[in-house]
Amino acid sequence: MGEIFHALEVLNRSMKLGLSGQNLLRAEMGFKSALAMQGNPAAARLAGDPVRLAERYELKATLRPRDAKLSLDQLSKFAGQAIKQPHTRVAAATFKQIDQAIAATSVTKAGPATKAATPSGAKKRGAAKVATAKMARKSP
Amino acid sequence: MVAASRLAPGLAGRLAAEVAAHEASADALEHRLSLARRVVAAAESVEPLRAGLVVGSTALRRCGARADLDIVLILDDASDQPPFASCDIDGVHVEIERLTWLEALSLTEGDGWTWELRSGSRLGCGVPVFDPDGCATRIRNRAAAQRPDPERWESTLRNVYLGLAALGPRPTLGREHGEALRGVFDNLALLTLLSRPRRYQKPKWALADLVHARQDSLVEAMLECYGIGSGGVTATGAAIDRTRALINGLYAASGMPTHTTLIAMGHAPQFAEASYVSRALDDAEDLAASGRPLESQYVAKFAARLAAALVAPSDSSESLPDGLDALDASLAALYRDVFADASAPRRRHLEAALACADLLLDESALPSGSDAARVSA
Repeated sequence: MGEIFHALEVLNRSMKLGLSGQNLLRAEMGFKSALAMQGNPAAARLAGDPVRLAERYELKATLRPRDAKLSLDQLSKFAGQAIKQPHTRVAAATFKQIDQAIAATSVTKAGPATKAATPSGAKKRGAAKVATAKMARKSP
Repeated sequence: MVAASRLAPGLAGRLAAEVAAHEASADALEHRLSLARRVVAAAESVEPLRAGLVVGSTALRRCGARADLDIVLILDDASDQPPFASCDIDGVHVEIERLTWLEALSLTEGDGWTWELRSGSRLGCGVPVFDPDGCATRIRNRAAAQRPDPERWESTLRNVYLGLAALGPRPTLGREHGEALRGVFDNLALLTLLSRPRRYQKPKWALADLVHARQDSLVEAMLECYGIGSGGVTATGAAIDRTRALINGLYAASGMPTHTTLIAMGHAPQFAEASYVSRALDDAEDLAASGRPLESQYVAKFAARLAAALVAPSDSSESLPDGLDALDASLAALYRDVFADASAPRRRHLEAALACADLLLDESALPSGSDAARVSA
């Protein structure tokens, strides 16, 4: 795949685009991502809809000891990021989506006899079932 | 990284004015230095002196009219004279300490923490009144070159960053988070002062020395997080009274003597920690009587934190008031009363703390003898 970078370099030189080395790398990565997206079947892509995503995937994490403690420089960046751009700050809208996803999956597990299911939840569950069936048909 | 030192016109400005108003005038200083020259000249006629230094409150220009005049005589070898002596000259109480040149070198050598660095700084910040061979300059340079113990320094700064990283991601900060942030600021004040020539003397002088080190934004954030907004008599009296009530409650619960008894005992090695706490509260009362209300409130509230830390379970990860709650809810209520005026911390307080921590980290990366290190000192 080094050819892509080489091709971009030639393009940058010949068309005098003035791209920096870092921008060339970015362009290469973007190009590769686009190729990968094209090459994969739609069924292999992660669903954008949190309900469908939660239906088929769960998050697993592992906590293990570091070889060495974070240095003071790393701790400074860590604290700075936590204060200025906290990754863990979740928007209220996202919480709402997560709640919907949890509600939808718990309804699915409880089965169709559950009376607590709302009309919109039922609609989504139905849509999820159709989508799953379609994906199952497409899968090799 | 953001520079921590910037001019803050608010509380820090008021405090700077309070500190400046209490600095000894040039005339008063010169009068005390001339007394010291007389004492040193008299000593020099009977024993071989290398140097004579004025140390303590006079050297730091924070002596009142009735303050002791502390003089250190540095000799080649041990003298026949007693190591400590005192006398009264022109109504000023003079305390004289004799050190050999080797002892002076030893006091200004190597890494250390609060106690060792303070001993070195006492000599290093001294004003020479007799120095024919440049010994005082050498002592000053040696004291300035001393560094805080690297392991303890790193461990304390680590705790600062971890404290900030724990508070940072919270969408909102409540009053209960003020406790953690006060801990962060206590550590930052300690590290900042330990890295500077005056070092950490004692809680009484922490704010004045931070002002002297031009740490305006740190001072501003500290005062706000301690809930010190008013320099009024009522607020100052309330801070002292509430802390006294808490301290007496904590001492009673632990079977220790009362605050008044501990102060009357003077040096009390069997109650070393409690004695330190009581002396801090005593200093708060002294500051209030001297017309230094902002510093008085800070020292009183800091004494409350020290006292709570004495009694709260040491292995507890809870905050001090929560730790006290587990022991006695009424003591926890007294503690919360001390900080009743402190509002919830704001994000700018976290940013001020981070900037100060980053400045300390930057300074620590400088070689001790570099120009930048000397400038920052």
